[in-house]
Amino acid sequence: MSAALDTVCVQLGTDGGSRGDLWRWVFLAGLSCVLMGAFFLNLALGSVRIPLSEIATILTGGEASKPSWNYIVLAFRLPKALTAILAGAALAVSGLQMQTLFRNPLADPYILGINAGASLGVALVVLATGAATGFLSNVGLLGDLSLIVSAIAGASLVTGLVIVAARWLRHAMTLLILGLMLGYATSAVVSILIYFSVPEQIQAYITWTFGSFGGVTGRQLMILAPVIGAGLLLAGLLTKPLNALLLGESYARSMGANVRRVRFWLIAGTSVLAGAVTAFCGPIAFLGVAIPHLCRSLLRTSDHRVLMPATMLMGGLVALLADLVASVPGSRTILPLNAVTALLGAPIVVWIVLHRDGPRSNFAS
Amino acid sequence: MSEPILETDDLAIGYRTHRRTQRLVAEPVNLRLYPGELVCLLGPNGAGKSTLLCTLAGMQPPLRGQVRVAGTDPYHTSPRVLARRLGMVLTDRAEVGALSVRALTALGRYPHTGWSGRLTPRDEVAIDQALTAVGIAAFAPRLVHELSDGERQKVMIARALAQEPKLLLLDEPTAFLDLPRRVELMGILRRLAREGERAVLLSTHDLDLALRGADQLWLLQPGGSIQVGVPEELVLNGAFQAAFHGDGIDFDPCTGAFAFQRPPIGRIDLTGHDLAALWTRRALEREGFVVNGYEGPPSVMRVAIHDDDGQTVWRLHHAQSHQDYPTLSQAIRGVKARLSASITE
Amino acid sequence: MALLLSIVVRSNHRMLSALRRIVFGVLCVLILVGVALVEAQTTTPLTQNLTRACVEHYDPHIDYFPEKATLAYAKGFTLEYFKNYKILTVTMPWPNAKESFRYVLVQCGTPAPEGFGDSQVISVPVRSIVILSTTHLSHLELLGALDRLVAISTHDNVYSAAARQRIAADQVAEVGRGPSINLETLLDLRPDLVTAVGHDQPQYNSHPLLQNAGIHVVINSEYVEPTLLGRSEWLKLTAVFLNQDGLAQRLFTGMTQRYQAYAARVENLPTAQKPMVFGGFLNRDVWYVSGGDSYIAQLVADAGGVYLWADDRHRASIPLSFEAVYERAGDADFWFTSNQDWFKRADLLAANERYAAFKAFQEQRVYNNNARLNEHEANDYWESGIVEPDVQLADVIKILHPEILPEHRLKYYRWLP
Repeated sequence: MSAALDTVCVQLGTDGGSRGDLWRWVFLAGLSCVLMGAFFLNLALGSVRIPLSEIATILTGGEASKPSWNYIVLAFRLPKALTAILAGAALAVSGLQMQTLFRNPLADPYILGINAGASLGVALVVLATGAATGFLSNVGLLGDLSLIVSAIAGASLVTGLVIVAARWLRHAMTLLILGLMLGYATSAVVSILIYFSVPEQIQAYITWTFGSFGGVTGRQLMILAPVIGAGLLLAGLLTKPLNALLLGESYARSMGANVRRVRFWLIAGTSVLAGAVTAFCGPIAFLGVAIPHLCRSLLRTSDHRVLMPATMLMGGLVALLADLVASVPGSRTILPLNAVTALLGAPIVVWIVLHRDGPRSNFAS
Repeated sequence: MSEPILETDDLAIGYRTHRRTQRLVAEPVNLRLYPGELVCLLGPNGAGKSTLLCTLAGMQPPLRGQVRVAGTDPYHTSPRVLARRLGMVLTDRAEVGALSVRALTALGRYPHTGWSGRLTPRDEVAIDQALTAVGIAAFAPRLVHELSDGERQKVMIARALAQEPKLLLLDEPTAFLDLPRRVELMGILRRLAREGERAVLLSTHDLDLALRGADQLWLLQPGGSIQVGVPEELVLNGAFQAAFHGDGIDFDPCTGAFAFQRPPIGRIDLTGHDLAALWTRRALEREGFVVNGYEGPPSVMRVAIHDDDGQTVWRLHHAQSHQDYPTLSQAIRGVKARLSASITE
Repeated sequence: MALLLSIVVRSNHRMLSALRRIVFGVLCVLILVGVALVEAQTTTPLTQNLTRACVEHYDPHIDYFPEKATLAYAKGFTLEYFKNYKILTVTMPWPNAKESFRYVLVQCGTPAPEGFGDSQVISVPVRSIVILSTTHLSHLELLGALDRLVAISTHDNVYSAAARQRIAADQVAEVGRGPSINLETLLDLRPDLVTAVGHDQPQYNSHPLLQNAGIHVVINSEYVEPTLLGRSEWLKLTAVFLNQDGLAQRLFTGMTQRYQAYAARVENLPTAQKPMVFGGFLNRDVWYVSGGDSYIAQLVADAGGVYLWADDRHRASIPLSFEAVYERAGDADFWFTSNQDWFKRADLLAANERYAAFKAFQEQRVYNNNARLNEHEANDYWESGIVEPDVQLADVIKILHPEILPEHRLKYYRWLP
């Protein structure tokens, strides 16, 4: 398998000319097919065994033998799979953007403290005293909606601070450190909240931090999908300046890129993408870091014109796979999503580092 | 004479350390750079070359005065417009990762392409020309990280050329290269300036190459003033020596090179006029001899270079006796031995 | 006697002196017997346990615990009685426990028995008690020992009005629980007994800290019992420390009889008439459903319902995915949820739209056990509910088969409109 992959990559990679480009687009087409396959696999497999023929019937608009199966496939598995694709693409793309902007192979979408801000918002709601939950219940805001709103509020707060700072700071490195420190500060506040909470509240909060695609209903998807779509579109428009940023901010400026403006849009785009995913699905680890590296390594290129669609597709694919593994088909139990993404992601990165030339050669540093 | 591509009027360059304090680096600066010229910006460390380049490129504002690149103020021009006039090559070794040479050069078309960065046939032609002008057309499909430092710098120059600029600014482009590469790069830059009707300004520490290759030198003195002129002029009027005068070294206008200041350990005469004589002279001078000095009595020692059936022989004459040496190394050792022997006598 | 004496006097003098000797002997014997009888009169056995006092003069022959408790349903602890001490062994301090805890309860005023160096030796009746779980509060109330409560883990979550009064009067301190328990306050109070709950996760347990500090602590974990009656029987565990064994025995017998009377009314129902019941709610991705061996399953069965996970062999809750729950319980008749924040079906919808897919939701047959909440968010289900298993059963029967108990009004369960 490794030899075959090598052959494919040799075809792809060493040739920087037009033949290499052609093979890259073929790879992308193949990736799309695998993505579709994984999508249907996610619809077919789950805690409950539903025969394939029934799945086909349901998807073509018919009634399955058990009416609960219709509901399970259409109202549960379908939104879950779509959410996985969107979230995976969003996280992978924003990870790519952050890695290029900060020229740091370890950067992920949460590097600007977005994750920490969302966690703070959720922690304030979940770990708040009983009086607050009573009030929220009366206002009809308790439950999923309150989690979403609070996560968005928290993420926006931190993002707002970072964006304001980005306008005045000269260097990306300063911004990075600022984001990291904001992240630490908010994590500290969350720790304090946890310390003073009762076990039930802590459990609810911790459960949120496990991440989940299954909590997004069809109606919520109608909000999430356009938001992520907008973020992905913005990322696509930023492909050209991202390529210029490969050489660093000084060179990018000398080639005609308005670095301050590009930086603003990159951060804004990442905030929207990562913030939306965190708000609806909880903080999901590892996809943002690992997928760009995986794509760079497989495609042997740093050119964002190819890398951008590749990370979108690959992100969706890996998220689907992670969700499939987390639902442990055939058994009644389920695993927390973040554990699965880390278990999938870590070996990927290790494999890349050991097997290929290493991230240095594939990557701007 | 055509319009200058780069000009400054009464420019004062420097930077702000705090909100109120300014550090003045150089003033007043009045420069003109015309198409077809290759100008080297020289100066000792800390004199302010980078600050000047940054100000000329519009990356920081001048403290006073004006800069004009192709008629516009670079600090207030949009980056995209400026990039069509000015291309830069910096010292940083940009690790771009897995991009092909052609792809990296194509990045130079940034100010000309639309939002998607898609390349039109016109862009492809410009890329081809840039690659050919620098002489790396054969490298086009290879990946950048597989190239040597010298080749990579050429790619960066090609990328800057692809912007089709009128002015090329290079900040110590030869810093990491070995001597043959440096010479080659200098040749390329000269050609680019002449044949492409561009102006090329580069800052460098390579004095020798600058003296030989530049049409003009802009010499930044430690005090903050700039002297402009053809290289030889700046040597003849002593500006070079003054700028680079340091502890223990001196610029020797005769040789056009730097030499260590040492009190001479002796005097020696040398006869012979060819290549061997030239290099024997250098070796003796490094040892600290004054060779063929014209003041005072004739020297006690004399080295004569003979041609003995195609073999060069060095003969050391000393006090009526002589000694033959088949190689220069042995001759030098012999001279030194003779000198120490004569001291102890 | 006088006639005999006159007959004897009428005979001759030799017979008279012999008779006098016999009479004297008989008199002596009578006196001795009388004295012995009098002495025997002072060792009368006790008729009641000493609930308020200590023993003044210890008598090793007396059984100081004439009222004893016997266990019928509880499997998590055992009781043994001796003349002046009882041995309480908690065999199931938490589920799947590998260790048990033995306590030697010595009647105050009598000497402790030898050979129990490794167990806690506690003098009973205890005069001051600290409870670390509000589930123990109802024991004290029922046994009339609320006045002996000196501290509780938290002032919130207390439903009992009487307890709230004492709290308001600053008679009950707050000490927390688990690793962050306030040892200083506890040591200052010097309670005779602390009742704690046992957890299989050692970091949640308070008893190691307390034992190290030399405070008597008993593990009172009624939640390990798989039956409702078994849970309620842990009342006796608290009672033995108060010497209220007899009262607890009587109370529990009453509970059992009432419980069984209710159960009898539905036990012969045909299966077709038994509605399908499920419970729990979704927490993010996981839906915890009570296992088939839990007391919930037992309760549903006793109430004439079919618990949909009765085939499961877990005592605790099992984590399931939404799919698994929906597939089995999508068409269930009744839903007993336990999320304390839900008061109407709209609350469920706000939490998760997918709840609307359950038939029990659509047909408005969702019930919650938060009918008795006070303004401090305390749920009486966990206080007096613990000692009213019969009322709980009646509630569930009323819900599942309203025609069988027409006059009963729901006490602990609330219908969600």
